[in-house]
Amino acid sequence: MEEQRLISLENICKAYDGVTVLNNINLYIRKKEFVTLLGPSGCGKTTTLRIIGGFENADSGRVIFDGKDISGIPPYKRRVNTVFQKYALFPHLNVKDNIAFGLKLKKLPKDEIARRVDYMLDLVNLSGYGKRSVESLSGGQQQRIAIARALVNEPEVLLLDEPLGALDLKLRKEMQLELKSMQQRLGITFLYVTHDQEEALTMSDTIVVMRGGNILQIGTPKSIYDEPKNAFVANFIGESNIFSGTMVRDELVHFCGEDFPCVDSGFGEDKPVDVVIRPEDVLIVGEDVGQVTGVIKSVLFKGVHYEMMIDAGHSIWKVHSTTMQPEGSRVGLSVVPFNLHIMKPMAQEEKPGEEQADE
Amino acid sequence: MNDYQMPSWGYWVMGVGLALYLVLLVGYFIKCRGFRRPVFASPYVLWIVIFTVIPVLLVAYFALTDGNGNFTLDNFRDFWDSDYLRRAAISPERAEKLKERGMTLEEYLPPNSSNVDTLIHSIWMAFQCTVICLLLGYPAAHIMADREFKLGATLVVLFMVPMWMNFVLRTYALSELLEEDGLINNILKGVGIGARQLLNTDGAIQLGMVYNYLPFMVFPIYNSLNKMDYKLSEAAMDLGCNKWQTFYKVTLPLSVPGVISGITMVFMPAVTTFAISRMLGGGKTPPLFGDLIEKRFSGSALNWNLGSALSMVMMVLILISLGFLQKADPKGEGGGII
Repeated sequence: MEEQRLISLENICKAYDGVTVLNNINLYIRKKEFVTLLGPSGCGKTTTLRIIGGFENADSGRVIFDGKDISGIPPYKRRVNTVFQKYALFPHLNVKDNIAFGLKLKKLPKDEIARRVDYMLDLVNLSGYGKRSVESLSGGQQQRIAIARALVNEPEVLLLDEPLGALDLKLRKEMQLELKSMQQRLGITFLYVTHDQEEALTMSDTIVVMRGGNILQIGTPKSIYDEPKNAFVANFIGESNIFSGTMVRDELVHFCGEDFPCVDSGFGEDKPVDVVIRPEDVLIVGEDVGQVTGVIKSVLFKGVHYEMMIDAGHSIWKVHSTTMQPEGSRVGLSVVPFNLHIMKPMAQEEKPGEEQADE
Repeated sequence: MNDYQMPSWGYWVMGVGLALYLVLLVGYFIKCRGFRRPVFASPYVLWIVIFTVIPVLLVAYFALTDGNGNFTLDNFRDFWDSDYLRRAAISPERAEKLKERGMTLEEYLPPNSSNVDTLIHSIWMAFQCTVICLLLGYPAAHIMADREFKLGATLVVLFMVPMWMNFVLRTYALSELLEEDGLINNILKGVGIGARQLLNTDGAIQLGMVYNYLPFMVFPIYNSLNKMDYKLSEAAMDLGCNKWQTFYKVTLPLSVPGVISGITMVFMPAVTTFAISRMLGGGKTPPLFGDLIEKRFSGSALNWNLGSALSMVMMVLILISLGFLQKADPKGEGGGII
């Protein structure tokens, strides 16, 4: 639905000193959506965010905001606000003045500024901290102030550049939930950048997986986890066993020396494919009923489950299971057809020569 | 005149200081069982005692005594009222005669600018120099610290190169340029404006001071701007600041420590200089306070007592202004004053 699209990126390209950072990015963000740009460092996710924020200009392509092309419009005229990676709070101002910074620029009446600042402090659970200097706060508190400082301006879109990167694990998890509930309560569109797949899965409505300046896959957390488009996405989102195999015919794939029934079709006959299996989808069964058999090489206790590495002769399988098998024992492995994910092999998609030929 | 030399107690202080130092050194050495921090710090302590503490005590001693070593406050009176000495030299009878002839004492005495006037003139010149350095130096530092400006590092070196040259040489070179038939006057003649008196003016001294002290303004400001997180200006723009608002709401306040440090490092030497005014003023401009002090110690009007008093006045004024500056930069972020 066209009118729901708040931001559209159309054919965005960007290069620094001849090195391509963004390669023809097309993306749209709906109103009130929580969109996460996910990828390893250097994949172009932060650059995408900075182009929307107005801190960088794309070499080509358009940024459409609410139906208008905003490419070239300076940051202070855009209805977006940013939470920076290391917060970038103003050290010469106290907490209150940091949050009030944007409102004062808009020349709002004093009592309204005070009211809204107090409301924000309350929202981020820091009421009573207004007079403190920002340098006296802990990382988590500074983080909340940075969010409050951006949100108090009631932006159409909040851009967050790895805002939880500097926090410890427990605090990070708390803040993830807090951010998500804040977003739902306020009804503001969030565009979130992270390299943490778990964070992305927890918070997002839509995940955009990026690598090397390209978008690999866009989808809901569930669809990206369950139906990764290629081995990279599969491996980046969660853990995976990735085997190269051959599609014998529709709904039958050959890998690890065995034929496996699957539910995929349309690859053609005898075509090379990548087979991705989530470790938790591998079932440990009796030696005689397994599709393959192997020896338990190692067992790691991971809390909720055990992680076992199983040597099946020509391949190593990673298996997650809540029941432990002793090291050295022989077991059978089985995968239901639905849990075999067949995708075009990575190598084919990646050849740079082919990519350029496409352009 | 008097044959000035260090009073005997000066030797005593030095002797006792040195003895105390040796005792402490040995004591620490034994207590710490070897070379520890206090032992390493001790040469610096000795240096401070010999070249800072004792000289300051001596200046105070000379300022508070007369030529015979007796306590007096006359030196400070002479600072305040420099005509006193001359008036005192005229006998009351002679003053009476002047009155009969209808002349006041002021008319009889040759014109002479007072110490206080000189002090005010010096402070005024140093103030002008500081303002000019700030107006020239801040934009220069800002450009050099700009992330997008690729030649910033080159510019920093270019600003530094003159500082590698000898101070006297630099200033003499400037006087060559300003001479009656120097380069600048030749150019002025060439374009039809005609030669001007450039050397031996207050303007020449001012130029010399700005030329010599500008780097001391630029570098502290450059440092404070350079270490500033550029994300802060991005955050300001994100929150609605245009370029100019970003500057005066974020960049400027955060560079205050550098500015304070720069002001201190320019104003102090400017207010006490005598070399620049001598080389570029040629004795034909109103003297600066540094000239007065210098004259009392090695010049025509030798008087260590008065000279010390003048130095004390200067020192107190500098301490007061330092106190004010300290207030503006309580954390000393500008990289230390003095």
